[in-house]
Amino acid sequence: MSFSSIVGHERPVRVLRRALASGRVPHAYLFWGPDGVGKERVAGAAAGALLCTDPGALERAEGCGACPACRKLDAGDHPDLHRLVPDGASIPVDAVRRLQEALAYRSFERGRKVAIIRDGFRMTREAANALLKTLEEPPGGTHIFLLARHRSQLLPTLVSRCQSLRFDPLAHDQVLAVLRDLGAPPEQAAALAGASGGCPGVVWGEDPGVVLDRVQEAEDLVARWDDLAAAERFEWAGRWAGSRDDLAHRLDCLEHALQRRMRRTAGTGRPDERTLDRLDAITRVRRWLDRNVNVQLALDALFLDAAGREWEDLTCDP
Amino acid sequence: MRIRIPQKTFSDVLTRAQAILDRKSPRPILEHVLLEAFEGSVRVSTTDLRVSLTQRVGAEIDQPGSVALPGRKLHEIIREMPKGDVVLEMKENRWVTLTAGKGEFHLPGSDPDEFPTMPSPPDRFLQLGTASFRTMLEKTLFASSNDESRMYLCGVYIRSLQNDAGEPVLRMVATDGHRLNLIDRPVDTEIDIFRDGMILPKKGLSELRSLLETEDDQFDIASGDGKVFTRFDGVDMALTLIDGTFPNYEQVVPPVSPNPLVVPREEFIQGLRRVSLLSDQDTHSVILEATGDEAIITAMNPMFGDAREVIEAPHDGEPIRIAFNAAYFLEALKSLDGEKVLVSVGESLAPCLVQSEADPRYLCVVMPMRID
Repeated sequence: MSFSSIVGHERPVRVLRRALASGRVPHAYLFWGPDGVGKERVAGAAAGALLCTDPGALERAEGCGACPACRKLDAGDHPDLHRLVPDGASIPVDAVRRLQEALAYRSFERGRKVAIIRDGFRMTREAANALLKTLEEPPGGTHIFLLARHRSQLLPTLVSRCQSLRFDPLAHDQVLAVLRDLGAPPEQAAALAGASGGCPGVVWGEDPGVVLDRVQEAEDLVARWDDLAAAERFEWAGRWAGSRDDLAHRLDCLEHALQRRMRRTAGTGRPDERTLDRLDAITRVRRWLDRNVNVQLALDALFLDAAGREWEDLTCDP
Repeated sequence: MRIRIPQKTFSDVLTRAQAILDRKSPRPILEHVLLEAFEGSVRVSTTDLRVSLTQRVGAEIDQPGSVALPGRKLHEIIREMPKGDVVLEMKENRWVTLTAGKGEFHLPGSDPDEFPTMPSPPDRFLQLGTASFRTMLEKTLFASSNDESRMYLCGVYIRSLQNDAGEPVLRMVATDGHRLNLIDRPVDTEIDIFRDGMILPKKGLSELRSLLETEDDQFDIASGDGKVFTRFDGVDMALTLIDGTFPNYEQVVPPVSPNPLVVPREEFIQGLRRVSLLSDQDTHSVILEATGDEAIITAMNPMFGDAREVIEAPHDGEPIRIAFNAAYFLEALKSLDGEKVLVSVGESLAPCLVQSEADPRYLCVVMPMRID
């Protein structure tokens, strides 16, 4: 993985490469942006430059791609690159402690150590507090990349100890380029890119037919939503709650369909309050799902239009 | 790859390798042992990235080659095989066949390139006395911490320095924040690799200590790339150092009292053992009082009752009354040699120094507890 193979993300990549080339690399970065946008690929490229054994790698801000360290990174088994991934819905404190233990040792391959924490917002409170200790007093030559959807999902104490870099959704052409790089045939890439919402990682590996069905489903729903009877709304919620693996992508598709509707009605001079409200509801439902709220209830609220902006007036939102 | 190796030799090598295999790593390759067959010998390597062990054993090599095999299963199989020679042969797709007597086993091998590159030792090795180094480890390792949130305490700090008489000594210090052990042992020449001090991990040192139970007088030691390398008997070990600064231990070690309490060691151990049966189950707190010619150990447990034992112990200084964790004190006493121990106690909450009359260069410091 190298920076030259990264499509888009010009600003974060520029900032990172400047830091690498200067040799003053912060000990902790927070990469925040939507799922599948490419945060982990960029973190991997930074790890490549940091762990490459070629003497000019840091100055070039790019791993050489040929040394044993780079080959191990490509194969995913570099002993000084530690990846922390959620165990189900959360990252428990034990996992963070194991990472801390690993980082407490000198590097195995006479260089730096890098840790990439995927979905950092899934850390339990104890886990986040444990990590705080490492961020406050990082072991020498250690760089931590904390990845999250939004920095507001993390403890402010963690955020304040990291250099934040925002990752925006990619343009359609850029998503196409990423999918083609990954090996998708052109016509599939086009179909998937259209449904990615600027985040190639969300659709990569999915069956294009299924993805297009979800996009169509979301369009149909947006067109008919206002006319749905209560029973139909419960039926939608039940169906979505039944297939949880797809839920995140279904919500993404719904969000994109609502955004397209907003754009279509933008010139009419009448603000589409209801669509805005539904967009708001999707954000809220996602937050609930991250906090293990009952999926069925969350979706019932979404489809009954009871999770929108009025929610905060009605209740005390956690 | 095809080798023929005596079952006993192979089993012994794999038993040693077991201790290093990583059990909780997210990298499955670390649960493997790497076998490399060269002319006349096999190299068996294991690592958990903190401790790396390479053992060389003689074997009949019909065909050289290398393969990584699941360590635990391989060990279990070889251990149970009948005495005599084991034939290990790699077939297609890295399937490995193990044959001994009438038994035949097949194990899936992994690509040896996936195995981490074993650390390469520097050219220059120094020599250290085996017995002395082992004793130092035995007297310090148990005092190091298991608290992974303070990893710099989860090891032994080793440093070479000169004592007051200007002679070179090797020092080991271990602490868990509640007690501290410090031992100095003279060495022939200064061990320059330890001049700046380094923290070596507990797990690796425990393995090294068991390896040092050899008849050889000396072993080789070197340092480089954030690791310490040891070598003897065809066994190479590399310990990855713990990053971090060891606490300023010298501040904690109290001066030897001019009037220490002199206690017969064995009696003190037996007494403490008995009295601590009724100490608080969480704190293991016992109280030591000394006036005149006797020392009194007491313990109280609101659930089970209390205990009191008197030991004859001459003491000239101020009366003593301190509370401490009986488990820490017992471990310290057991690690000391000689018939009598000297206990130096300062103010009520100042660290308490325990040492043997026979060995003034080995110090145990136990932090007292508050007496309510």
